Amino acid sequence: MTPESRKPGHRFLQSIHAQLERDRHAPETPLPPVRSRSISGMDLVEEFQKQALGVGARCEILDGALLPVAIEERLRAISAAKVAISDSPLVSSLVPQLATSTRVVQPDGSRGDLFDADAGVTAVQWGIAETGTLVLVSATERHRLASLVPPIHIALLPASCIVGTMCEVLEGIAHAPHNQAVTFITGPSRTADIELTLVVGVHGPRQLDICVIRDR
Amino acid sequence: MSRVTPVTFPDNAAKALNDPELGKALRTASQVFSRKRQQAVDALPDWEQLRDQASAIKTHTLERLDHYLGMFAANAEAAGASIHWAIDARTACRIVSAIVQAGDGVVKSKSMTTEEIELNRALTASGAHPVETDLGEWIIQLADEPPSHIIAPAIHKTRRQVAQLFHERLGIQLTDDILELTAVARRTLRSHFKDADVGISGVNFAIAETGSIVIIENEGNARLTTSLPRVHVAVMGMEKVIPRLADLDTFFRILPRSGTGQSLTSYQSIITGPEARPDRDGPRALHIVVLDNGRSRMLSHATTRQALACIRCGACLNVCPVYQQIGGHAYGAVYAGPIGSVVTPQLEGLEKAHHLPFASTLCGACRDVCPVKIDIPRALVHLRTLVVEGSVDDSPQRGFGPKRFAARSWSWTMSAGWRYRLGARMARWIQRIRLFHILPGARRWATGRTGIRLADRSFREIWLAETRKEEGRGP
Repeated sequence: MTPESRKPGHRFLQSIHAQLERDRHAPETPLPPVRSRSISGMDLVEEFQKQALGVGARCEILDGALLPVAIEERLRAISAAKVAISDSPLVSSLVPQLATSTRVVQPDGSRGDLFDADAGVTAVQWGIAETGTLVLVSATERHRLASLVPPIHIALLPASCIVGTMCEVLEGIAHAPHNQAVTFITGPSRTADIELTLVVGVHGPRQLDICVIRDR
Repeated sequence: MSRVTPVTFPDNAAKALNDPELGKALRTASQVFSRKRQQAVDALPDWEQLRDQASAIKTHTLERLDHYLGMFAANAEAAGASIHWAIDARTACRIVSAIVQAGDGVVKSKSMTTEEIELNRALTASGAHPVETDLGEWIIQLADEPPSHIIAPAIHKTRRQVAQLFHERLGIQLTDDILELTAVARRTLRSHFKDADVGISGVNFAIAETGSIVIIENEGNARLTTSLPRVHVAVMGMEKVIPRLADLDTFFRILPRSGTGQSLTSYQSIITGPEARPDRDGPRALHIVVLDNGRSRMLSHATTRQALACIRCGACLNVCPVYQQIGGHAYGAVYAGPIGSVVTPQLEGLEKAHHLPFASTLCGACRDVCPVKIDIPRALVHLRTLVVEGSVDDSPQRGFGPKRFAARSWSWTMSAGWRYRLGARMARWIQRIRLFHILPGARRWATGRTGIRLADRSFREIWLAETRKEEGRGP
């Protein structure tokens, strides 16, 4: 017996193999090629906005120069005292503005501060126009908690990062190394577990506020 | 109360049929889910091609499961995850219990596989207090009940019952407001999340080429469970593996549409290994428990193997005329409804679940909605054959019981014209003098079933009479 065959995984897979062998006479089913899709003939930014609004997110398209003011307005509107942020350069560049009216909770801040935060601000690596979906990649940005724990998630999406379909994103991340966590976000957190009645904001953010930033 | 099991199915079903609250909840749920599913499916012109694609990917993978599972394990380990192999439920529970340290806070996101292995019971026995965090799962954990639907586990409960439960267990004021009830869940579960050391999740898909696991949800509790604690334990049935990351596009398009009628759920998380770098968010350790628990037995025959393609969307439950009447608990097993009637006899043994393959009208509605095209009726007939001809000694379906007598009589009657005509006349006569209920066993069988009212004259008789009239009149 080789050391390999003593490993529990080896025995486990062997028993699967043995069961499959009993039905080997059947013709094998080939793996179908990936069905690649793209959408054409429409403005991706407009389509993204339409779909995002359709799933209950807020979505505004604005000029990059207006971003600091837009963020400040949003935080004032909810009287935010604490704001959790990701470590993306785009978000970091806004910290001076944020710090004037709120306490900024850095990604390595305490869990207590994170749970107290009134809003979380992150950037976004991809937008998917077809479904109004945001894609956040942990290798690029420390997003996992800031986009999830506070009741409001403010997401900054450069218009140039919007693609047509999920396919294009999956192709992009399939071979990139170190993508420990990739999060797809479509609208706010929701549940219908009691009498199938839709309630928004159960465990994740009750409000998803997307700022699509037009390139200057 | 004695434990509800598949063995007691006839009694469970009879009880469920006499529960008007349950009946109301089930009717609403079936209608809402089916309508939303239909709308979501109609919006996709390539739905049938998507089903073909999904079915082919799953069939291909299952035929080479050892290959793809080995590839997944190797890639997941290369990304830093620990793979554990669990041949049965006991082994899986032992593995997870050993990972959880004494005093650890344990949060769980919804997972049918952990229900299957009764992980909470095992963890509680070893001194831990796992807390379910999906709203529906939390409700039934507080009520100490099993789930009754794959994607809406507390579907059998009304808002009043939930309010009463929260009032008794959490001391909140009684309220009918679902918003308030949901807010109570958010508040209460936040404190558990904040101090959690271990997060336990299921797995919707495992990607062979990258070693990633994929979790799909709406509430955000699975993201919290897999992001906040320092240890993440993912329990997956071994059939969850698919070859390529790009295949997710197909499954992301069919699963939410079939389950809740959404074009996409709020969140999908693709997790590849633990977070090794100290300046990042996420667990420092990722344990993936791969579960067999009877699944490899299903691989040896094409008819039962296809049931492993199931992606747990619940669409077959919502359209099933049997499920619509009796709900999930009556099946006495974790996986209810049509797909459950195929899977349960194989996981728990046909001798314990011999009633379930017969808990179907074979109408085929489940096959028509199944997003991965599992031929459930064919699998049920296959299992019925095994029960009748084979291994299950004490099944009422065996030998020459009343059912076989009825089926034989039917077959004999229908195979000659004169016998059919005579039989039809006798049936109308029996109906007219209400003789049916004195037949042995008929009253029990008829309870909860709607009778067919036979016409006073058969189509054949009317036709003959009309033709005679025509002929009498002449050309």
